Amino acid sequence: MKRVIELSINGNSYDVVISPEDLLIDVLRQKLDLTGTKKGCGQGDCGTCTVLIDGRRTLACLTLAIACEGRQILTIEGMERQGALHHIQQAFIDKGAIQCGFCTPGMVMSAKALLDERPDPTEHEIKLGISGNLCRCTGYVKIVDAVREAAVRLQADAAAGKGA
Amino acid sequence: MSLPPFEYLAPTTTADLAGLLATHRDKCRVLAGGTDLVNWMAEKIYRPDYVIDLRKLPLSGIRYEPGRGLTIGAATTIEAIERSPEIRRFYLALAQAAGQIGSPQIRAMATIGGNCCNASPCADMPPPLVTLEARVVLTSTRGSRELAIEEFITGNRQTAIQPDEFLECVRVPDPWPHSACRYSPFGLRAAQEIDIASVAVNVAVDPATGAVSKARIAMGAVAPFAMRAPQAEAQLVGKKPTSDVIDEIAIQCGRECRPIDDLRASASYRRHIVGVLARRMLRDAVAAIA
Repeated sequence: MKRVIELSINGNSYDVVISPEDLLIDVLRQKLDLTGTKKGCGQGDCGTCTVLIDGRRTLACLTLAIACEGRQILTIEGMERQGALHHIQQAFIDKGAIQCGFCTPGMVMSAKALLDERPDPTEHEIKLGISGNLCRCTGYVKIVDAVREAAVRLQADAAAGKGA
Repeated sequence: MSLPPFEYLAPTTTADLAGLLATHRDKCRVLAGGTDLVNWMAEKIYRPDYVIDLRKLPLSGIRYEPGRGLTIGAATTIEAIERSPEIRRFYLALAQAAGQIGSPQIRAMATIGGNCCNASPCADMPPPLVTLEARVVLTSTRGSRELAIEEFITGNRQTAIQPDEFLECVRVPDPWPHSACRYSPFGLRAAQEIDIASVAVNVAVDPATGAVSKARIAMGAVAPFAMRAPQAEAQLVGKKPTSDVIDEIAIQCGRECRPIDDLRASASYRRHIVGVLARRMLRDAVAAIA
């Protein structure tokens, strides 16, 4: 039975008409036109649909939209601030960590979750942090470089009192 | 890929949950993290009329009290188990198993209840739970009952849960004195892999004699459920855990498991790997006690 639910996404509130069986990934992409989040394998293996719900890494392809009521959803569209890319996004560009780009939104969200918890991760911790995200271009070396660079820039901002 | 239609229910009390299960029984499925259930609904393996979401229920949390042991709520995430300071300190094998499941995303979503109730032969949580003498609490409108994890998981994806029951929590007794537990899976890659085999051990050593006083060994992905190695356990108890003794016990574990040939590995390779893992885990556990 269709119903209206309220979703909080990137700080905005959306009233959405959904069925209980609608998946978050499809609601984001098809009903709300938030197509930055990609649908890859659709079964929780590839990580490209990763979003943050209440700060935790979550696979939008395995999440019922109706179960997200009352929770804070952050997608790749919510990373930039006033037209400026987030440090993680800019570091991916600067380090050449984007090839075909399909895994990038999920990689960025996994990096965000990692750096929120560990502002100064080791290379091993970065690899663990993105271990649920597959890059079929196999550009992992530059992705790890980019996360490392983003950590440095975020820490410099934090030291300068600018916050994230 | 879309899911078959269902009605969504999100009870806020366990009494309401029990009532819904008693009413809908086989027509409903319980949703915890969703990492298995949503896939199975997408594949039309399940077409429930009702999906009952546990997320508004007070079913998650980790509590450790010396003398009373550990209680883990059924909806506790695998990530919370992996990170729990109490579990890392007193029940390291559980944290080791949790840390090996899926990916960071899966661990943030999936729950210990789901890992036990779905009862995959290669699930990571059951082997250490078996070695730690864990028990599950099953609740319904008829009341609660407690079962040893070995009585709960009865076969490949089969458990003793009744259609009107839900898994409320997992209880683990206090660690044995002078003991250590360890767990390791083996797969072909470091993340998002399905185990070829896994081994959990829990060993206590008598400080006066230096001999093993208690031992439990459980093996995953080499039988329809996490199986113990009773002969290996019996051989180990009463002996000093020297390198030679551990080597013998490890080989015995490989003999006792009941693996199959499948696309991930041959049965004979699994037996070999069980021996390797058993040797490593027993050495680690014994070193940690000493």
